[in-house]
Amino acid sequence: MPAPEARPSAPLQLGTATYATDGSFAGLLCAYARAHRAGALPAEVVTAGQAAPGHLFGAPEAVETEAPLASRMEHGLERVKPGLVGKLFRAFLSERAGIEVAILQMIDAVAVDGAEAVGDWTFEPSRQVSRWAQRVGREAHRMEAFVRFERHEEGASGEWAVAEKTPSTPLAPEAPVSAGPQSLGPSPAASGGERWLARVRPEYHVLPVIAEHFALRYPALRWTILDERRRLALVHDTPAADLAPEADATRIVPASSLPDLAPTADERAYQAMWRAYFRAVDIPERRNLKLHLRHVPKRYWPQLTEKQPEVSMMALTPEADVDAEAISRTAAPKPRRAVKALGPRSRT
Amino acid sequence: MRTQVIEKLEILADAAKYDVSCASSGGERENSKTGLGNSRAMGICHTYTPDGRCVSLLKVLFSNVCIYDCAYCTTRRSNEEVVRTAFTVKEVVDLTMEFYKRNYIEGLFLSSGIFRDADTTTEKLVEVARSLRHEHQFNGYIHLKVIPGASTDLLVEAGRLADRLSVNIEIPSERSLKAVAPEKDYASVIRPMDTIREGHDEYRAERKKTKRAPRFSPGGQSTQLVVGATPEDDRTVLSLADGLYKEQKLRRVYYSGYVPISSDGRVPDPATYRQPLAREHRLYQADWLIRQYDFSLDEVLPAEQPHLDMKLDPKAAYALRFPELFPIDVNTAPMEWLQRVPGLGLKSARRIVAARRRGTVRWEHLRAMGVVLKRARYFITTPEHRPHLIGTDPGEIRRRIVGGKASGAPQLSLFGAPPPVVTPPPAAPARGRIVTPSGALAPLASAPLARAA
Ligand code: SF4
Repeated sequence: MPAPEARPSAPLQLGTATYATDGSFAGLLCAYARAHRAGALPAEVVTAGQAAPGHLFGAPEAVETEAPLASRMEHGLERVKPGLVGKLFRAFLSERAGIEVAILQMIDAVAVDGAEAVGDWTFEPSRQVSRWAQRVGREAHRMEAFVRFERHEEGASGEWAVAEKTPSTPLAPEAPVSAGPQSLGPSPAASGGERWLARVRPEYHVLPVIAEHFALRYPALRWTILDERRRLALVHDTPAADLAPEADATRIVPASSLPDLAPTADERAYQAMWRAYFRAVDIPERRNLKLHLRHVPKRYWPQLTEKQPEVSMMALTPEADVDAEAISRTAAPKPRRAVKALGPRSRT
Repeated sequence: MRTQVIEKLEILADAAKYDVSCASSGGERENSKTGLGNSRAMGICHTYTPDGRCVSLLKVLFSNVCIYDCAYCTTRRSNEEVVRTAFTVKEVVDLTMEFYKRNYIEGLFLSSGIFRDADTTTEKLVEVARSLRHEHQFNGYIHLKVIPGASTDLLVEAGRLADRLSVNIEIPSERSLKAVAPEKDYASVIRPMDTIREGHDEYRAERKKTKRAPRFSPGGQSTQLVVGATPEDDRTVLSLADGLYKEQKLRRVYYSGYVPISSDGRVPDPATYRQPLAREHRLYQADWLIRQYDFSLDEVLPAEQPHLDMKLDPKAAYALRFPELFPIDVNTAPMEWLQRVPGLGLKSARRIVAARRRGTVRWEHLRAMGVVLKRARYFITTPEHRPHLIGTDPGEIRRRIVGGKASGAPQLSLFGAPPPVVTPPPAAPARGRIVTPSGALAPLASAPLARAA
């Protein structure tokens, strides 16, 4: 915390200023230091350079991101309450309007009251931060479960294009993920290898949260998790790839920098086996669609192998030795779209 | 070859699906730089079946050829309707590796019909685990269901390779077991359990001395009880489970409502049998109270009431059996008591304790903390909320919680005759002594209170 020897005794009030940070979590921590000096919290925090239509309080004040200051604050916060930085960071990744100010208010409450402010759900910003951190955490957990990798071959054109622009991806405070320009510098031109690709559309920006999990799980595989909504990709390379040794093996890059990929020949067969397994473990007598949907919300279905229909396999894999009859016998029922859902009113 | 594997999957996954013990949790296994996978203390459900069960492991039988004839099992030798088949070791290994790399599963749960003798069968399971661990550097989760009667040497090797071992008891009393599974007895199940417990204890003790002690089933062991196939009551089921937790130090006991897969005369007739889904759910709740909330078996289910209340969760049933202990004050009650309130979980109890250090917890705060007010409202007080029903008419509370019509039968027996012997709960809220329903004064156990302070 800034100036720990002079522990503030009263919480800062919300002021009228608008702060503009670089959009990173470190930048937000620096915003707190600035607010502390100014004696009031900002009314709003925006990302510099991004049009923020209609903010009410005059020109935004630019906040410089100072990495050493941010990491000192992280240490201070972790000393007060282990796990707090991760929680603030997850809330931050919810990308919800106003979450930045709630985070600053919570940091301030911790500075005044210590660790107890964190668990105090009678304090609105605490609740906001907890709620969003929880939602982001839940989605990250779901991603860890629902990401589905497919084996791909990197095409001949598989050169890593150098990104023209640094993505505005916040850095995970403790995860070994870096999205800074330095990690994009030496572009590894490992083409023609095997790469495991997963496509996702998470509601929140969870890639920084799930990075460590997958890095620990698949250290020796080369994999990519592509967030199609944000056009960002979490990329992991094995040490064997010709990466500069000091560069991080796991990092976030813009989707535009990814090489061309094509699924390998055996991919569809394994997907068919997985679907066969999924069908076999069903107990029709116990079907409970409501419960099923609570666990596997519909929005995740497009990325789930087991929710895809069977037919494409024969069409696309010449060596697939599954006869048509077996396919039609075992094909998953087509999702039935209720035409009624649109309502007769809209037409008449 | 792939079509063949798909066919085998359909048969051998189908036959294994009724075994519910699959949660991959409780074993930490770190990955190496070049290895594949790790297993964390919290297992991940990678998908859910249409009936809402978690799928975290590739759960298959190695073979569905079986020389035994257990009435509750499709794989039994006398069942002529199933096609018999078996995987090869390589097939199971390949499926596990490929599924794991695609993030479909956390690992493998392998069990088998007894196709020759116990050792030949167990040896195949061990061979799969050996290949995964040693040839493929697989560090994901492996759960082996060992065959009753397997030799100690094989059990020891299985324990070295697997994250968890289990031996299923299946039928909650030995007499019923003998009736439906003539080749089995409790001794053949308990013996391997003993071996596993000893191996596991030894490993735990060694591990305290050196981090490099060879692993032995780090996730402990579990078992499964089938309910509904035989006539045991809930009290019998839960006290067997309670004993297993205490004596065999099992990590989990799974309760599986019998699915009528068999028209064998020794088990209920599929035409009239109804699956005990509610019962299964209540058993898990009761089990959870005993394992996580420090309830004793007698508190959850007194000996005189051998059946759980199907309409009411066991915690609410407990509170209504001891109405004089409630309501409790959320601003003063120790943690031990907060967690005994229906509608309050461990999390919301912790949140209350955190919030009241900074001020008074009021009624409007509770919902945000995750308290289920619909249930809890009768059992707690805040400065602005003072329920009276618990003191005057607990029967009415039951009617309101259960909802719908107040059909008389079950609650009358609940409050009719006070049960004669009751173990006193560990502590009462800020009262020196508590009165048990039998009217006797029980001294207040002070230890839990001291812990809460
Ligand atoms: S021994 Fe196992 S597989 Fe064989 S019939 Fe009995 S329960 Fe089924």
